[in-house]
Amino acid sequence: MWGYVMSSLRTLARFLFLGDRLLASIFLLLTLIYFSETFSLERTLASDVVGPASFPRLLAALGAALAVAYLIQRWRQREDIDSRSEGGNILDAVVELSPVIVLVGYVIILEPLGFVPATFLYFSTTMVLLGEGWLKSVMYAVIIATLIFTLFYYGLQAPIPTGELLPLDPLLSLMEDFIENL
Amino acid sequence: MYADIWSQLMHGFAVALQPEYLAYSFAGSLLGTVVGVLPGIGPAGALALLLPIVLSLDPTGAIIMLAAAYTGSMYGGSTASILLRVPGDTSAVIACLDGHEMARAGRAGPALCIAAIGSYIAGTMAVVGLMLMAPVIADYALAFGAPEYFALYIFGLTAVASLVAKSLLKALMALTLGLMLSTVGQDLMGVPRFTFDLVALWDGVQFLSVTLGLFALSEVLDNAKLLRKNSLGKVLKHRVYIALKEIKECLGAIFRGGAIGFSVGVIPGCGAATASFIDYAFERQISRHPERFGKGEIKGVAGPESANNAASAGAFVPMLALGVPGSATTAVMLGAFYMLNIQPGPLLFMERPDVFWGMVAALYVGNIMLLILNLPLIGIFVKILHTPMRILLPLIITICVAGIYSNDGLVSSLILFALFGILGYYMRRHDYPLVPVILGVVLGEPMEESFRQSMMMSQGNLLAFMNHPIVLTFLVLALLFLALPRLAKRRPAVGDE
Repeated sequence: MWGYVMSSLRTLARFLFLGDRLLASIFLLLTLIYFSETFSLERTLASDVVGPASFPRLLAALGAALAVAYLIQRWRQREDIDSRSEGGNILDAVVELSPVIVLVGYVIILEPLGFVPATFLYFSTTMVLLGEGWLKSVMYAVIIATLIFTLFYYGLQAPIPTGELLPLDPLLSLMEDFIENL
Repeated sequence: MYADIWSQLMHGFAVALQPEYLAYSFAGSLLGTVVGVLPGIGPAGALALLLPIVLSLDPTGAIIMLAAAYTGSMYGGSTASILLRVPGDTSAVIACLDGHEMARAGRAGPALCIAAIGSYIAGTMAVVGLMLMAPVIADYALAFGAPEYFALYIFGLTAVASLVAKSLLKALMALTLGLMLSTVGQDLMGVPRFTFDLVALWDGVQFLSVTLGLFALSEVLDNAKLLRKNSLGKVLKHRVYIALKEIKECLGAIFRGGAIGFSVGVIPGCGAATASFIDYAFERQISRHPERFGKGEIKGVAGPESANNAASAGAFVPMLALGVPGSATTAVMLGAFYMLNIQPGPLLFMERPDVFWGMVAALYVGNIMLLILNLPLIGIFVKILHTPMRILLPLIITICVAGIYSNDGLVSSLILFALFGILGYYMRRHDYPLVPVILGVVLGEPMEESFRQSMMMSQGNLLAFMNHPIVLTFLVLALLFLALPRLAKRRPAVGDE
């Protein structure tokens, strides 16, 4: 009996957390958390008949119903699911997502180092990781970082980080004076 | 009446075709295109950036330059979507589907050409519409109350969701996720929702983080994987120009796009993105080869691109006729009008006909300028695709990071960009469509606003609006869009990824 229960649970877990069902299961969980959060929302105006929670509750109910319907639909087709092609190991996933891992590193150093040095490091590292040689990567990184910074900071006057750790601000002021004199 | 319109228009052209104003139009188109290509800036941002320049010009020159920059930025956004799958703005998202697939198949030139030609034809159609129908359409737009908007959003969302994926349930789940994301942040009354006490989420999830993550970053992850496996396809020799046969094939789609785009564009708040989504769904629905949509069907570029441009011109109708900005871009334009001491509204046609007709003529000239400027540049744009992937992939990410950060200056938006990139990558892998998520994020807020206003009007009974003809029409259309493809023995769906 116990063995049967454990085996059924394993089958169910394998069904719910692999392949295309994983996203539906996560979505179902998300809708439940989202629904429970709506109870912390309070109406601020008496004339607001529905309040801030009604629309989200409708969405949560709809989302949960859709996810359950999808999982039931797939459960009925479970004979057709090729379980051997599903799954995979963690290492593969880490390698696949390595550009995002490098991106997160870039984002973390962006404000302290400033756009140009951070982009230089990110760009050259990514190019090397993608199989390019060091020299070419460094060269491209310098050019791209400078060009994009100039385009956004000077051309579009967008708030691009100039850095907190490196003394770039005086250099930028000098450049701005130089451009104005031109 | 028409003789009067004609003479006024000729007067408008006499002004807009002066060398000085032609130069403003050229500069506006060029700057608009360049800025439109960059993610994060978009048409509204492009106009905002031009404000310091245009406010130093005379009012006519300022309006001409702004109109040209507007059309230029719309086209620029589509260029980045077609070539790199990097939509800079909501209205450019749909160009990622067939446009990017065409580029992958070595047909970037025809995709960019048809986008430019469609934008020109439909843009011109819409300007004619603006000229002839602005006062009449102002009344039509006024007939739209909150319940009508709510029904329109339901129709727009279900029409697109029902057509973009093999599985309706997957598409609807993606759509609901987008709608849920749109509720993050302060609501209409300033109540913070789903922010988990993070100040960064008070203004909601930034649209750019979601769009660029789902589309651009997931594409980068996909290509990086192929690069590692050495299984990236060879860079195809791209045809730069379009065949006459292809233009003829697309004419119907362009005219339909122009009509749909203009009709949707005149409704305040609907905007170019909604128009392009609805047109894409419609084109696929009426196509004899719906299975080609999402795989590089040229009509999937021609129609929505035309709708997108026509809607931009259509959005000028409520702005000029009612003083109500129909989109973020027209809101910036409205601001510019006020700064130039021009008061848009019902009296504009009588009090300042020079402004109205100058604007109409400027839009005509801007459309022509766009065509003259962009067709020769297509060869250069296409060369972007020959850039080695080892440079292109980090370059796309760097531009996205600069675009997102410059939009709100928050590192948390970049973290969200990374998270949505992972989500997009797995959604694509398991055939979950990405477009409905974007659609939900874009339309969620106005949809909730119209829902809450409708509920307030009816004291909580939404069924009270069932006798409104416009509401009923949209709801019936929504049901038809949901049911028809299933009844017609499941038409093959768009593989938007």
